[in-house]
Amino acid sequence: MAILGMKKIALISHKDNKEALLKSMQRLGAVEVVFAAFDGIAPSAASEKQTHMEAMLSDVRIALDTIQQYDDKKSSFFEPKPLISANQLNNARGSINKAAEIIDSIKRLNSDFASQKSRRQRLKNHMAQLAPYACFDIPLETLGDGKYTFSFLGTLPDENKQNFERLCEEYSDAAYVECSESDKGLFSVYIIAHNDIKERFIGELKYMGFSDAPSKDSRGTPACIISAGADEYDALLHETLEGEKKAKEYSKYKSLLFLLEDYLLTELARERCREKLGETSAAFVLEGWVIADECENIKQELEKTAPEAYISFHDPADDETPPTVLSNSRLTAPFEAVTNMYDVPSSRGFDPNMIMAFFYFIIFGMMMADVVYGIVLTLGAFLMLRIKKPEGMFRKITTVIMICGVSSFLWGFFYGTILSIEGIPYVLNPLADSQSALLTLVLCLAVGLVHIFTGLIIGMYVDIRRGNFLDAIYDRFSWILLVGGIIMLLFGGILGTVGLYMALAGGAILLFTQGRHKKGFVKKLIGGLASLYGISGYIGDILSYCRIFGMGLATTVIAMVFNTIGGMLMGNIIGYIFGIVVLTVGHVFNIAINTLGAFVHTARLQYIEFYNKFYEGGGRLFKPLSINTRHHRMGD
Amino acid sequence: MSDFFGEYFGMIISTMGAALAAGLAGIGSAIGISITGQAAAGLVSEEPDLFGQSLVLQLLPGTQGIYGLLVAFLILLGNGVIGGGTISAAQGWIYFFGALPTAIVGLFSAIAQGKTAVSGIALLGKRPEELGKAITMAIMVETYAVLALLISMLVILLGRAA
Repeated sequence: MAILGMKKIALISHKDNKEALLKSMQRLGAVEVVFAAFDGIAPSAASEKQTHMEAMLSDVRIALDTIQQYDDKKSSFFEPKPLISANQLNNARGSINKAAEIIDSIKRLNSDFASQKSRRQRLKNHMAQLAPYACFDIPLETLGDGKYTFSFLGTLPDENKQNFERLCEEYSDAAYVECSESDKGLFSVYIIAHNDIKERFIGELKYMGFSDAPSKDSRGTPACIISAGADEYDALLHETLEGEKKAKEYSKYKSLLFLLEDYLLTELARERCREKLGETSAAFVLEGWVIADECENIKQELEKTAPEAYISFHDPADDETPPTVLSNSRLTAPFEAVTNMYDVPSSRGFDPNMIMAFFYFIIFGMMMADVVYGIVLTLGAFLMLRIKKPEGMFRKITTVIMICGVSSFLWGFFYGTILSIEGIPYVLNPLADSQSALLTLVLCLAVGLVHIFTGLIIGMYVDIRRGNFLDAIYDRFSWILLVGGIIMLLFGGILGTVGLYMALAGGAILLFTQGRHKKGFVKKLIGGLASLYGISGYIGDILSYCRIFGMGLATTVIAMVFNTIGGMLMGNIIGYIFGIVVLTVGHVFNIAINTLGAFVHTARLQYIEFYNKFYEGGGRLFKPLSINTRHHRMGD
Repeated sequence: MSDFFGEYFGMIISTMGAALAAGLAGIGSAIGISITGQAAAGLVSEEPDLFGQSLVLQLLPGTQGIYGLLVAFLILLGNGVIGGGTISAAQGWIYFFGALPTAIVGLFSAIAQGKTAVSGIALLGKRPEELGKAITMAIMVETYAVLALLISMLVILLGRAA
């Protein structure tokens, strides 16, 4: 449990060795390259190669998106990513040309799909516009103004049907009219009439809400156009389906594209580092962070690649903030994920993970106390690690669950909860009687008190380590005295008397010291008095641990709910079958929902109640130049 | 009125409390999960990989409903609906009022937590690595549901009419 010391590396070498050096650095995965800050040395610009590769990467991703859309074989969630060696990854370069062809064809398919889709949409609109006129056997090209007559198609609202009929009656000697059945509040009409009445007739129609039929430039009867359109539509659909079949065939190249994506990511990581180097006409200079203990090893490895390179290491300057590298035992390292989700510890701060992991273990188990649930969690997480072989955050969280399952198992015996079956012997059962319920609550608050005091003691340790001995007494120890004293007061007797003096001493320290950064006696006094108000914060913090009691009871009682429902069903054979289904689904649900609950609530107690006593965040994780793959696991 | 229902009055009024706890807190959780789910669906449409993370945020307002269920079950165990037996009218009233904190705070805090989780989803969209902070902010709202649950349980487990 520690934050490792970091050193700055400076490397100067001949330009010709740049690629080789960056490559061996990437394989080593131990140097975080930063911008080389030397006067008079300009940083090198983004290379053409980088731009080209970025374009290619986005093409690969588009192609992958397309084929994954049409791929029937969904890869199983549990299937681990394929293992690959650095050499295999490097050899992916050889398949770039072949992949480029595939990507081109997939992109062409993609743009075909898009144009076919928009053409289908246009046809559909056109057909929908003509649909009301399908009943008229009139070629559209005959519509319009003639020498003696004019003709047109259009629609009118139903409510004006009578008015329209009256109008037709009026002009029956000069106009011929056909009407369709009404549809959706409109009916369509075909009208051919003498040019003499054109203006008046059309004026009257407009008044009734007449609207013209669209698409006068088409040829043939509406019915013909619609059926031709439908044929074209089907043909386009067929084309799309054929294209999709092809896209499906391309899915066999998925693994090739995955490999290429990872290859490009690896190459790009190196290209992006190139931008950070300083360059002269013949040499280049690289700066970066390394873990102090690895300096010698790194030097040896790099000198193998470039014997003439000048490599030096130096301690970080005061105004530089090195990245954070945490070093923990195998058991506590996974818990780093919990801390890092909140904030990465500052590289000059304190690594809380070992102590946090201990409390996380205890509290998680209290919230999820059940012998069987514990076994399910540990075994499930273990199998997940074995089968899926996850990496990164996922791996760490799964390991945390695996470890905390043991705690659930142990607390399960303490509370006597085995799937909440009644009659199991217990040490303490909150549901047994009201006395036990209170005792459990007190136990939860006591855990909280220990947790908070541990936080304060760590805070004292950090202060003292920095030489601020008085701060440790004034800001932390005073609170231990005050809060501890008040709690001892509750017990009364000799303990209470001692507690009274402790509380008074703690309160006095706070009163006289908390205004020490203010100017003037009155302000100092007010600062001291105001700090005493912080006692409400501590009471709130301690009471917050009653969520352990709440979450713990939730786990037990929800299990009891399902046991009761399942038990009611189990009357005969069919009932037994249904009962077992209810019990299985119910307990699985309970495990899922309460694991989530226990996980986030335990994390919250660490973040808010524990870390605010001492934690110094704001760090950033060490990100060395390394081989970072999305679709493969690295191995030899 | 207590004469009207006779010896069952305590059981009836406490069952009403149980119904309120499970019902109101459940409604709150349903609303909270629904609004978070809508925001999460929007995010997932752009970033399908964030489904798992947004699911965690979506589930957070669900706990109030579970607290309501828990309180309801404890009351039903105590008042004899499950397992038989009967209780006095006074005991029934104690159970009824015991259910109210979880019912009322559950209803409103789940909705409020849902709104916070929606903002958390927005945060996730911009900075997926900050899931921990988004969860913490949403969990802060739940504190008050937990406090209400605590009082409900203390009343139900410890509250005894003489």
